Amino acid sequence: MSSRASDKGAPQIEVRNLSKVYPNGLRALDNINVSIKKGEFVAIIGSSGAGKSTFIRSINRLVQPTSGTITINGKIATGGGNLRYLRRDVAMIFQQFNLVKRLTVLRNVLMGRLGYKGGLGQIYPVFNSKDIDLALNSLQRLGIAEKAYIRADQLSGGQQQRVAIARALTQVPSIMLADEPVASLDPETSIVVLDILKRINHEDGITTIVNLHQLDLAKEYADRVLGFKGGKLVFEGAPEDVTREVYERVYR
Amino acid sequence: MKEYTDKDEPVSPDMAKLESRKLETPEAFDPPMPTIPAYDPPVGTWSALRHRLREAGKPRYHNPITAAFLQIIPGLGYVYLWRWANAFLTAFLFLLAYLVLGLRILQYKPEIKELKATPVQPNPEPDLWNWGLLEPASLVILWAILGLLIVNLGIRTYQRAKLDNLNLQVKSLSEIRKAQGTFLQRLLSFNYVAVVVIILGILQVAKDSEFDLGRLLDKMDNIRKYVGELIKPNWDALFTEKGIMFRARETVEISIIGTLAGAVVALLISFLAARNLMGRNPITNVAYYIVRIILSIQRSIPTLFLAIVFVVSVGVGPFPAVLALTIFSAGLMTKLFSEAIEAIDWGQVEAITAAGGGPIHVVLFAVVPQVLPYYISHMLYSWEVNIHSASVLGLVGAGGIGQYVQDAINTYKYSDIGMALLVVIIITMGIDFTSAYIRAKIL
Repeated sequence: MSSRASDKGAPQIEVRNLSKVYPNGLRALDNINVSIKKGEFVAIIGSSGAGKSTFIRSINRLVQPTSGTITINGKIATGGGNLRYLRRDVAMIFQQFNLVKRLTVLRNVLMGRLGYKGGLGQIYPVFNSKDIDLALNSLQRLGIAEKAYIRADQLSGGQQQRVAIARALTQVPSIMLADEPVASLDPETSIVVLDILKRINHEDGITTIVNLHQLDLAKEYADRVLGFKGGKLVFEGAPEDVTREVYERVYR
Repeated sequence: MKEYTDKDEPVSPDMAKLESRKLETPEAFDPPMPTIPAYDPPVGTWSALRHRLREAGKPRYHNPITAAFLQIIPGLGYVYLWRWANAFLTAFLFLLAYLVLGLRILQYKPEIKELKATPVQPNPEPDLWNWGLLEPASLVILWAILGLLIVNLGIRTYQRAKLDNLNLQVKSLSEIRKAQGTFLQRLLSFNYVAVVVIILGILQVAKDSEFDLGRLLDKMDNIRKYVGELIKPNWDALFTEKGIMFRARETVEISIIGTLAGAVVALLISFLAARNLMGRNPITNVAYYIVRIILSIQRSIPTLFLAIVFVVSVGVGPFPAVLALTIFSAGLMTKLFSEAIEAIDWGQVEAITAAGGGPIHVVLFAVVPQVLPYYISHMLYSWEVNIHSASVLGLVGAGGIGQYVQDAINTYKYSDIGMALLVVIIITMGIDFTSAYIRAKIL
């Protein structure tokens, strides 16, 4: 883990001329060029419909970009190839947590290991003791190990988001994407969740990209802030540089 | 920056930090108006074509008088106004009106009527439907009404065109309201075509299906006699050999086996019939459409017809009923199951995909847990429907209580039919209540 953290500084995600036009003609991303370093904590700000979600989903190809390239760990992620290898390396958490509500917490966290099940495991994955150890370990790191055998829909919002983070951690990823992870949580729980993301970013050296609505949270947690407006990258800089003028530029 | 030293340090919010944060929120936040990006149409695609059609359909200046005169051929004026839906609807309604009138003219044979007028008919049935609509005078009136309707359509189109032109230069709401005309003007331009066509259509349909309350009253004695026998059930018929209880048990068993077999088939097919799972790539999309076409063909075959086919091919008894019910309930359940799949929370599918799961993983871990309770509920519902069908299928020789009723009708034992009916009602109600109770518990 510490060796990863020491790599901090090398570019890990290279985005070149990335554009996405949806079939209804909406141009969600317009020629984005950005480079994200290993171990960085990047916050993306912008109003609704600015292209934040589309950008983050292009990185793990939940959205197929129309043109442009994304290079992750020196490999082109926007070409062909097996998406399984890309996606198990790029974990993601969501605004609505997206837990499988009728399964137990542990079973949900084990979903993080699906990307490692090749061959027969693609038809019926068997989770071995190593997977279960990893899952329990992630749950313990997030302080919810005692909830392992409770059904996921019986947890509170903050706890569900922690389970989702545990699921992401169980993938042993090098990049963590968070699509508005605190938009459906109250302010206090939001801080708990962002503290966790920051801690994981710090301890494991996992590059973290977070979509945020709250400017003050972005300024507090991020190493770098990207501002999107109408599908274009209109601001890129350190959190200290986010002034009133930048705020006007991104949100008006 | 906060320091993270202890890995297992419990995470809890720092209240002091929370308090300070509240002061930092930006003052006077005006929610930004969403900006609609300028549309940049792609070239040489379907969406480009759609875009060009949409552009062409945008309001532009229309000459109201031209529009009104073009409506002499109903619908053409609307084409001129680029109102395609209105054009097709109007053309369709007028076509129906001409068709109904045309049929009436074809039915009108005055010379034959005159010939048969005097002695020949021994038992003349009173023709309730001869309201003189076929007399030449009525026909003239009907065609005159149709002519007036075309004039009315013209007036309507004239006003529509004027409104369209008004919308070109964006005016105030009150001006637009004023342009819609007075009450009298609006009354004149009401869509009378639809009303006339619907009235004519209902008259024709009622005539064709021999709807006749007089006949019902005439046969009242018959009805009283048979119903009187039915409501005196013959309790002795219950436990005879191949009697009502034997057949009732057979009915329940047919419905159980038919439902289970149908559920197995539906379980496999329902994934292919779910648009949200299959519509994502061209190959599976083709499979989706093939399955959907087969399903719609299957749904249009009546179960009784299936039962007849199987009775003829595999012989009399409960087995053909099981086969017919299997096919019927497989179709029903596939539709219900696939709708359950289409209603799932797509976020869970996305989460499994984002974790690197393959298509089968998605089905196993994101779809099945969400749809399982619905599957059980739909299976119970299908069982309810099947028990109704299974009681009828015996009428064509496919076992069950229907078989008993068929035999009883042939030997005029109406009291036995009454008993069978009572048993069917009790069994069906029992199963309906049980299944409703279980379904309420599951969901």
